[in-house]
Amino acid sequence: MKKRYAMAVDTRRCVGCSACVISCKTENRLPAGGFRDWVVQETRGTFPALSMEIRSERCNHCSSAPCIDACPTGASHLAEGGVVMVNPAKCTGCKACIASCAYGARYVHAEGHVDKCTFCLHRVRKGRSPACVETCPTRSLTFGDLADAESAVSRLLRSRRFEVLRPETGNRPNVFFLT
Amino acid sequence: MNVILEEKRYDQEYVARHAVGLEELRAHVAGKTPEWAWPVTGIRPELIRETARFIASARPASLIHPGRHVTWYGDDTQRSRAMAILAALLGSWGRRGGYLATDRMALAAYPAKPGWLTAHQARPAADKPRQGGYPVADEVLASGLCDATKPGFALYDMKAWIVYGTNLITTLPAPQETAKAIQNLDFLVAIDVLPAEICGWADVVLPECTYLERDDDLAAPAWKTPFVAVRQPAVEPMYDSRPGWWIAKELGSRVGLADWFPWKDGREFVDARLRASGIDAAVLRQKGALAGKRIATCEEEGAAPPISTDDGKIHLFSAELQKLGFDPIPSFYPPEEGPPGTFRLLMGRAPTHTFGRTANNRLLAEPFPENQVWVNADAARALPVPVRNGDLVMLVNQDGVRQGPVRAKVTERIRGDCVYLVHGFGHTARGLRFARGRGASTSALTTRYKVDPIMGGTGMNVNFVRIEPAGSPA
Repeated sequence: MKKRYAMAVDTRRCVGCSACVISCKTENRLPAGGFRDWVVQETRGTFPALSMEIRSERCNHCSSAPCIDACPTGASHLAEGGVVMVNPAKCTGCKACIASCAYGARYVHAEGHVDKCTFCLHRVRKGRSPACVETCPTRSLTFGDLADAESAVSRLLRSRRFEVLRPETGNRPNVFFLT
Repeated sequence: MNVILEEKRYDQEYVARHAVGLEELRAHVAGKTPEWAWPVTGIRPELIRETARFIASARPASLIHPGRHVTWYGDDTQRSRAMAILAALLGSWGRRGGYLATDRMALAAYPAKPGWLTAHQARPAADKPRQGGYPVADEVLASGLCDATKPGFALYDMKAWIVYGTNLITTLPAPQETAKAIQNLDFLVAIDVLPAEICGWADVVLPECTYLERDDDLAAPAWKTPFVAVRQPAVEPMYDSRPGWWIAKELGSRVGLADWFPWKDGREFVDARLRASGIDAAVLRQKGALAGKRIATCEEEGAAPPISTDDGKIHLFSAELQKLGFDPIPSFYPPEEGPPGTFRLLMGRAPTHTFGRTANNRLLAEPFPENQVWVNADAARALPVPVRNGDLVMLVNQDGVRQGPVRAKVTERIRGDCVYLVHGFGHTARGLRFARGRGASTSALTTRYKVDPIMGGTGMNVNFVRIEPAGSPA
């Protein structure tokens, strides 16, 4: 069966420590100022009646990804498991994909090409989880295959309420936020 | 507590079995209604009631977390007691989902020769202040070190410090007092992994290598499942730095105490302890940590609640404190307010940075390079010069100490009469090349503190700051 990789981010467990950000930077040797994931803290209400959500965000690896359509050279493409990848050799750094992304998930790497989260496909191929998932001290992040009904991520999405970011875009994101 | 007692939502069976002083407590909190707490906390009475009912509905699995950095106003023993008493009413001491009993793995000391001291000895009276210190604390806190350095304070005057891995200039309140204490010393040695502020005050700096470059003693902290962990170097020490064991052994041998350091290195020391404890060093070194047998941690598993009083009961009313002249049941005394136009300075930590020193870690500093001063949104608008999110401001405390420029974080997540800073920024040491000059220092602004008369803790939330636009004349 065709794999469909996805991530569940538990907003009730996350404390916003940025360990995911730092492990991603070291694992993927990102340049200074370059981030493939980041932490958002959202507060609603006025003091003292407040609610807060902390989210570890990254590329949503959308099932209908506008960045792939926007790319004039075919550098942005769909890889195995539905992962959206950038081929640096084909990328001219034109930034059309950056303009098309609703989530601000892409940036221009110091070497001139566009860079973004890969779900750590180089690790996943060897049976390991993405660096952020392995590092998370509160185990807020769950990565897996949605095509497998028994995977941890499938089970989580069956048992918990979740949201995706900006569903109105019709991008069909594959990063799910447990609320 | 008022709601939980009034509505009989406490664990009556548990309290009857484990606690004494319920009737005194009930009488004491009778008037402390949510309506009474409203003007103090700014939280609506209905919300307080709802919260109390919600917490009680989950008891005993509703943990009242004691928090960290709990010295606020100098009455902190009593505030901590109040939280502990609430936990007792909920029956969460020693119950599943509450405070669990923990245990350490028993490890043998380094095999000693006859006459050797293998454990820390009780503190001699000479280390205590002449007046006798604090009634329920048998040793002083770090600020007591500064006190003991003042001539005539302790039985003898302290003349030298060896400061190990603690940046006293930023960890203690009232840095002006720390500086004065250092002036009274003849000699100061700093052992640190970073060229922190304290190193600038030292006569001698002994640079230690980081934890990834050294062997350390075994760690066996108290846990649900007792375990032992070993620290071993991942890489060779860099530059001219040395492991702590090397520094101790060399210092010892140079003052004629070489016999006390019979081991060759830290690794041999750890291996000898492991052998004596019957633990296979090779297995431990390969795995990093070994778990012991899980212990019974709560009443449900057959363990008695972890209560350390003489009679094994929880004292909701403390005759012991009463005898010492303190309130037997915690009372609320409003903390002193600051001058008009100022905000109470609160401080804490961010999950990205564990210590002040991590501000100098480039990886951690990338997502979190500097602290921001949190200001309530309404309060920020009402300032003489209104402050917007991201504006650079200066903070000036009641004694005229200025810090900044620091960015304002305009938020709903704080009361209007307080501002908040993450501790550990605003470094001044030239050697902290990355952290230096980033953000504002909480320590510099903490020129005053209030000492808890019961246990001597230094309450630091008693400083007040004015917010000025950055670039305004000093």
